[in-house]
Amino acid sequence: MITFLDYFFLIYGSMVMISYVILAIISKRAIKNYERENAGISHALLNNSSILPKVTLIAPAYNEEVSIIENVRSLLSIKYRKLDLIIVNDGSQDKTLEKLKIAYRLKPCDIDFKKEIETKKVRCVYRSEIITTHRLFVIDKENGGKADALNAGINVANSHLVACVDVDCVLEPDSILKMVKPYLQDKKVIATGGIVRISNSSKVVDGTLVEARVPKKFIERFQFLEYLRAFLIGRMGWSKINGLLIVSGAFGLFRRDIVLKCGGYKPETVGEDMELVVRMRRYMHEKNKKYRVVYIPDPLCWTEVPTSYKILGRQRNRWTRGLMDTLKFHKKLLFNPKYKLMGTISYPYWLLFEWLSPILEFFGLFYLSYKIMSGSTDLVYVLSLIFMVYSYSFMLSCFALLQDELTTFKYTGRKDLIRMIITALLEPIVFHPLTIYWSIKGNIDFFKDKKAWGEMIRVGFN
Amino acid sequence: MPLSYIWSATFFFLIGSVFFIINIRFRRWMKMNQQRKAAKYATFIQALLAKAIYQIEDKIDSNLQAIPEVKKLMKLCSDTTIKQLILDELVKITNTFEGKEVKSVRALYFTMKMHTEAIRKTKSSRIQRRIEGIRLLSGIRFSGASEHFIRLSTDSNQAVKDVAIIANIHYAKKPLNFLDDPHTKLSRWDAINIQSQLSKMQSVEIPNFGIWLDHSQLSVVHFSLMMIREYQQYSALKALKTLFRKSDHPTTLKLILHIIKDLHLVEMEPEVVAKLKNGKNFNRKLYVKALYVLDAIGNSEATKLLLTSMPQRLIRNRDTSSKFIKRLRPESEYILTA
Repeated sequence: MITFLDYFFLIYGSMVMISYVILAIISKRAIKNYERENAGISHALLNNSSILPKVTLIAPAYNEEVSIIENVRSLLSIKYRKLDLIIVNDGSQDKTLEKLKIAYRLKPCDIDFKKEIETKKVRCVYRSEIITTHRLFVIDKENGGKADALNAGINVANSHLVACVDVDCVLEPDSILKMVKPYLQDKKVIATGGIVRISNSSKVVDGTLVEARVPKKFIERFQFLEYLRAFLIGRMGWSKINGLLIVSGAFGLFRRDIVLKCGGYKPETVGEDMELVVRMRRYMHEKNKKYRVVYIPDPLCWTEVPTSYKILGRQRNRWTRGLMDTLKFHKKLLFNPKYKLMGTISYPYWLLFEWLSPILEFFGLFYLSYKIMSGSTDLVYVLSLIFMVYSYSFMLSCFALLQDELTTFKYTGRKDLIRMIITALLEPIVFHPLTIYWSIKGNIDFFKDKKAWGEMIRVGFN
Repeated sequence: MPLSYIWSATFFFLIGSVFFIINIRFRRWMKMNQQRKAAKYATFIQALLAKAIYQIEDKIDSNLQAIPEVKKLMKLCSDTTIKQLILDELVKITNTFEGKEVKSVRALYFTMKMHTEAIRKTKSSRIQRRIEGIRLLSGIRFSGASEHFIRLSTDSNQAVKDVAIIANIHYAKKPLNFLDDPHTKLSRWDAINIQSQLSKMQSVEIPNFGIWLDHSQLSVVHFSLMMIREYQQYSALKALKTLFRKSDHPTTLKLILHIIKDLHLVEMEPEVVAKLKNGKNFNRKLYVKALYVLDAIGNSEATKLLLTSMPQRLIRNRDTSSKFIKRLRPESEYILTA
C-alpha cells in the first residue's frame, strides 16, 4: 500500500539527489572558467607591484603553546607585499603569549584604534621588534571565544581587506594574492573563500606544505572525500550563481568596512563563519547594493582534521548547532523574495537539504524497517532502493575526485586513486551513518541550549 | 516507483562512476604520455633545430623549405606535442641569442608559417586558442603583432586581456599604447598587472603618464595617477594642476593629494588651498587629508589648524597619526601655551 509518507520520502529524496547533480554541473563550469582565467598567470610576479592593497591576516589563538611558534612562522612565510599579521591571544591559560614574546621580541606598542565592534577587554597590543617580522602584531585580550577574538583583530586592523584564518592552518605562499584577485577584478566582491584541504599525512617543512599526500587512516580519508565534495561541488556551484552562504572559518577574506557595518562576528553562536556571511549578504540586500561572494577552487589552505571518532563527533555536533543558529537568527529570509536568490533558493536549500536531510534520513530508515517488518513492502525492493542511493553517492564521490584532478593534480600516484575509490565505496556505509548520528545529537544539543565548542587534539605536521 | 526504474537509475549511476574513474586515468595517461614524449624528443629537436639554423644562416635568401632539416621540422609539426616542443625551443633561442641566430629563427618561423597560424589563433572564439596565439606572436616577436595585442588588450575575457597586456608591454614599441584607446577600461587587477610588468622590465621606457590624465575612462585616469606617484613624474605637473582644478571625484582628488605629498609639489599649494576654501569640494576625510598634505609641503596655517582644531578621532591611520603627533609635539605645546 502506498501511503502519503512513501510519496513524501520519494519526492524529498529525488529533490536532494537532483539538487546535488545540478550543483555538480554548475561547479564543473565554474572550475573550468577559473582554470581558463588563471592559466599561465604568475602570481609571484604580481607581488612586485607597489599598488597591491594592504591585507591584515587575523588568527585567534587559545592555549596553543605547543605549536604557536611554528604556526606563526608559517603565516609569516606567506608571500604578499603588504601584509600585516595579527595574532589574537584570546586569554590563553598556558604560555602562548610568553612564547610569542620571546620568539618574536614583542614590545607593547601604542596603537591608535577605534573599538568599532564591542569585544572583551584588550589588555595590550604588542609588535615584533625584529625587522623581518615587524609586521607581526599580537593582541592580548580577555577570553571571549573565537568570534570575539576575531572582532578584536578586525578593530585593530588597518586595511581595507581582512583575512580571518585558523592559526594552525598552513596557507599556500601565494594564497593571499589569489584571494585578493577577485576584489581587484570586481568591486562588488565582499568576501572570498578558498578551498580548504586536508593536511594529515602530508609533508610540511618550515610551515610550508611541500608534499601533499592522501591521508593514511580511513577516518581521515573519509573526511578528505567529504571536503572534496563539499568544496569542489557544493561551494563552487553556489559561488557560480552567487548563492553562497558560507565562507569557511579556516580561511576567508572580507571587506573590512562591510564587516564593521554588520557588527562583526557574532560571539553568541558556534557557527560564526556562516552567520557572518549571511549577515553581510543581508546587509547588502537591505542597503540595495550589488555584491558577490566568491570561492576559489585552488587549494589555498591546509588543515588538520580530527583523527579520532570522538573528537570528530564533537566537531560535527558543533557544525550542526552552528548551522541551526544561523538558520534561526535569519529565519526572516525563508522564501522572502526581497532577498532574491538568498531568500528564495540558498536559505531554503540549507534549511531543507543541509539541516533537515540527516533527520529525515534517520526517520526514513526507521520507516523502511517498519514497512519491511510489517510486510507492507518487499525486501528486494527496499534493498534495490538502498543500492541505488549507494551508487548515486559513489558516483558523486567519483565526480569530486575528477574535479580534484582538474584543479590540483597533486595526488598522482596510482595507489592514491585506488585508495580513494575504496574510500568512496566504503564511505556511504561506514562514515555516512555516523555523520547522521552526530547531526541528530547536534540537534538535540541545540534544543538543550548547549554552547560548547569541544576540544580539538592535533597530531601536528610530519 | 517501479523496480525497473530503480535498476535503470542504479545502472546509470554506476556507469557514471566508471566513466569518471576512466576519465581520471585517461587524463593522467595523457599527461604522462606528453611528458614522456617531450623527454624522448627534446634532445633530438634541439639537435635538429641547431642544424636547421646553421643551414639557414648560409641560405637565408634562398628557398628555405628545400633544406632537409626544415622539411623534417615541418613534418614533425603535425604532432601537437612535438610542435609545442619546437616552439618552446625556438622561443628559448630568440630570448637567449642575438644577431644572426635570431634572424635565422625568424626566417624559420615564417617558412613554417607560424605567424599566420598565430594570427588566426588570436581571432579564434576559443579563449585558450586566443591566448596561444598571443604567446606565439610574442615568442616570434613578429613585427606586426602590436595591433593584435592592442585589439586583445580590451578582450572581454580577463585571461586573454592579461596575456595581451603583458605581451604588449614586452614587445610593442610603445608599451602602453592600448591606453590611447578611449574605450580602454582598467580594473585594479589590470593596473597591478601592468605595474608589475613595468617594474620587472628594466629596458622599457616608462611613458609620461600625464598624457592619460584627460582620458575618458576614470579607471585609466586613476591608474595614471598611481603611476605618476610610483615613478615620481614631475613632468606631469601641468596635467595634474588641470585635473585637480576641474575634478570633484573623491578618489581622483585623494590620489592627487598623495602625489602632492610624496613628490613635495609646492607648486600645487595654491590649488589645494583654493579647493579647501570652497567647502563643497572635499568631504570630511579629504579635508583632513588635504590639511596633512599642506602641512607636509610646509604650509604653517594648515599645521596650526591641524594642531588646534582637529579632533583626534579624525586621525584614522595609526602610523600617520603617531608620526605626526611625535614630530609636532614640542610645537603643539608652544601653540597651546601661547
